[in-house]
Amino acid sequence: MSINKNNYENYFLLYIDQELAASDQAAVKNFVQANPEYAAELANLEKTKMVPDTIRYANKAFLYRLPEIEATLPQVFKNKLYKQSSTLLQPNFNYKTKAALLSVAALFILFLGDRFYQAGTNHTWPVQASIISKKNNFSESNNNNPNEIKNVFVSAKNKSKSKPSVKNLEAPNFIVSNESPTRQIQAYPVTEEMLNKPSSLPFIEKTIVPNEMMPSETMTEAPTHTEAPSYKVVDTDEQDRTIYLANFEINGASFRGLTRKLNALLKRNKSEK
Amino acid sequence: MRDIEFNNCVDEHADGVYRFILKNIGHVEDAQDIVQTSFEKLWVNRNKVEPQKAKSYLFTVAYHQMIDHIRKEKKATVTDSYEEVSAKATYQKDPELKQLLLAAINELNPTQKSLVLLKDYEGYTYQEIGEIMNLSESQVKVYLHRARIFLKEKLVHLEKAAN
Repeated sequence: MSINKNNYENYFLLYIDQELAASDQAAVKNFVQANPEYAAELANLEKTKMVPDTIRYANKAFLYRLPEIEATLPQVFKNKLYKQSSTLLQPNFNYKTKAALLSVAALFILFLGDRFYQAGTNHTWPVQASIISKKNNFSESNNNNPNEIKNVFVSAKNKSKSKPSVKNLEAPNFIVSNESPTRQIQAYPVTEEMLNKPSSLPFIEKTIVPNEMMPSETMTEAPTHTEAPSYKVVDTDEQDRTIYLANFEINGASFRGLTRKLNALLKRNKSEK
Repeated sequence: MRDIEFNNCVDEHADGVYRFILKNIGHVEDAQDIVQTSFEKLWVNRNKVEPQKAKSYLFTVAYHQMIDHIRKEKKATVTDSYEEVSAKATYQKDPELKQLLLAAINELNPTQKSLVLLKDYEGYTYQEIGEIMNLSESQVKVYLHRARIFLKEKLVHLEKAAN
């Protein structure tokens, strides 16, 4: 089929698209040369042909498949590349309990330790009474200083408030024997007969002159009746009871409240669990 | 297809597939995703695809991915990024004519635009384009000729308006 004015456009389009055989391409060129008025038509169609741009795909590295290299990679390294779900931290009862106990212990030491330190600075240790009794004979101390017995009383009071104190006794006359620091202080009622016969006192071996023995006011004001002495029972569970732990003096009421709170806390945790 | 042949396909055809998709949809990220998907499918079907038909397979997959993308996004027109990418082209025969041609191509429908790009950029025959776009050879010929005539008239009109 030859190119003419009726079918030239189809040939031109096929020529632009390079769909013509070499012979047909030559025929198109000859037609244009023979008919210059159609050269502009062919030129306009040529303009519709796009010129390829140089556009590079930048992420070719992600497209390559390298099974040989991939096979050489250790499985541990491959696993690191995967996302891993983080493990949730489960609340632990033991952990909380330990933390609570440590906190309470720290507060206990910080709060009460300071109180112990302050109390310890003005503390009169009960050893004082034993030292006095060891150094001096009871009768000699009475001879030298009438207030010696009072000092012994004060020392005994500081030793323990819960124990029967000499001060609480209602006996008219008494003499304190503090032979050993570890022994409990014993009070003996002293009657008029005993005072007239000092040798009958159970713990005094040396003869004591009654006039020299009682220079103090308490002794001089002692009644002369011979009734049996009565003792007042001291409540050992009183609120201001003191507990000794090494060099620390612990307030009994505070310690009891603290232990109750600890018990309540542990019971609640057990019920929650 | 072995892995070495697949990597050769990446070297030879990745740029062409990317350019074809980018010129059609105008979005760099979307074009990259489509290219990546195309090569993923080629890798999955590497045992079924002959190495000499890998290029046609890649363009076929990429074209259908692009059509799906256009249908989803309803982007039949080229956006600003298309102009930016085109402006960065290293080869420009006639900058003014090129801009006019790009403006005219933007007015083509997606099928005609793909036909022009596959024909001019990749040099596919009508038959190959028909295989890629799932069209008959005569359909490719008619659609492409209509697109050429439209572009010619548009260019003449734009040149007259510019002058």
